[in-house]
Amino acid sequence: MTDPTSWRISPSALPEESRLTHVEFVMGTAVTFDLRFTGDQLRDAADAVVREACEWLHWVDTTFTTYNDASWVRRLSRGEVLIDECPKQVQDVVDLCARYRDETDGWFDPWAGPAGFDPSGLVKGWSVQAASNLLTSRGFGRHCVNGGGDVAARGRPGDAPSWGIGIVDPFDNQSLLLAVRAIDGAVATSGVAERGRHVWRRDGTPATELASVTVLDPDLTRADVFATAALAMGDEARDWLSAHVAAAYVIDAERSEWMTDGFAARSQPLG
Amino acid sequence: MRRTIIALVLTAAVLVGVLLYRSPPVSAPAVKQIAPSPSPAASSAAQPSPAAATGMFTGTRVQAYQRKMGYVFGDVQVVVTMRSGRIVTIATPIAPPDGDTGGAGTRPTTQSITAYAMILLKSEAISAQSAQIHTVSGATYTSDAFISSLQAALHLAGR
Repeated sequence: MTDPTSWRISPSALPEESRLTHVEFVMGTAVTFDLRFTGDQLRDAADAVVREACEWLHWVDTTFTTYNDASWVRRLSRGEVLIDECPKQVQDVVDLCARYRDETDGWFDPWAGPAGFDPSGLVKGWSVQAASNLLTSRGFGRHCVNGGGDVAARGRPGDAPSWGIGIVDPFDNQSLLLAVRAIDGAVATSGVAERGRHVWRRDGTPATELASVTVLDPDLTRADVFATAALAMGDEARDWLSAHVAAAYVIDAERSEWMTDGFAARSQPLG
Repeated sequence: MRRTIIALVLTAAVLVGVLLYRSPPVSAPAVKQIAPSPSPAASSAAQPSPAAATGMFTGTRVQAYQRKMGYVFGDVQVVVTMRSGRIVTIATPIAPPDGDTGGAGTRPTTQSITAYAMILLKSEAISAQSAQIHTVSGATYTSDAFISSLQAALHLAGR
């Protein structure tokens, strides 16, 4: 039967469930979708909403990419357009960046990079959260969307009491260190291997003390930003995370692992 | 806390590979079926126990591809020979058709297909763990790197 404290449901308790999965290559990474629903007649609707979500992600990619000088973000950072001339979502992102710069005491600062305003540390999580919200608004409230390691999960799958998210070992990306439950929430991990891009401290040196920071939060934007900020903080991150988030997990360059009580309560070691 | 990959439970509908093309293949490669021959110690139920698994197991083909980025995230058929729960050999009887490289030299090597099959087998091991894991969170990777990631392996295994 279903044991709320266990990680699995016995097969005899599984309801009939339909599943739609999809992978989309966008924003230089891959975004995987896993939708669960009852009633295969909903499959066409599920397919349609996933397509719509993917169109959103591609629009975000085009609008916010820093790899194309003609993107809205690049034009904004060069002062060629005013913020009021940009699409509303660009203004929203700028507002969020300012808010999170304050909330992280400047450890997350999209204006601090050498090439001008770069909101990349927020946009991926933000856009995946928006995709998840879209799925929910169309009636698909049991899903897991993973944008290159930023995960937005809602509801639960039919085969487990909650979505289970494996945390990748930053020193061996073919191994998992532990599993954490995502319950109507998000999981974001920031690591130094992030597409070759270093996380920079305010004094211009790269942050190297921590190998990986994982943050759980109801909102993926916040989880993404806080994980990024914490990685930059280095050894100060643990105290800061304890004060600002309910659930976080840190692995340092010496492979020592630390987690908040909130994270421990929702995770299980593997092996 | 590091988990160790040991004996792997192999189901009949698991193994896939990855082909990188600039355009999708014109015709499907031929399929050579090899009947699975589970170990005599296996029960009449579907899966042999990891320790007893001996024989050749064929993966079923599944299809999915992404045109926009020029990738074909597709499949090959992989045959795995196991002895007492250990993988002895991995063979890929289906190879991309000659000339179907998409013109960009992206034809995968046998080693890369094999490496990917190994990773997909790992997804089986992940699924066999006490915790049900549906996806993974780690530092972001490029689309190229995704192909050989655990996220990809779990995604394919769940289809």
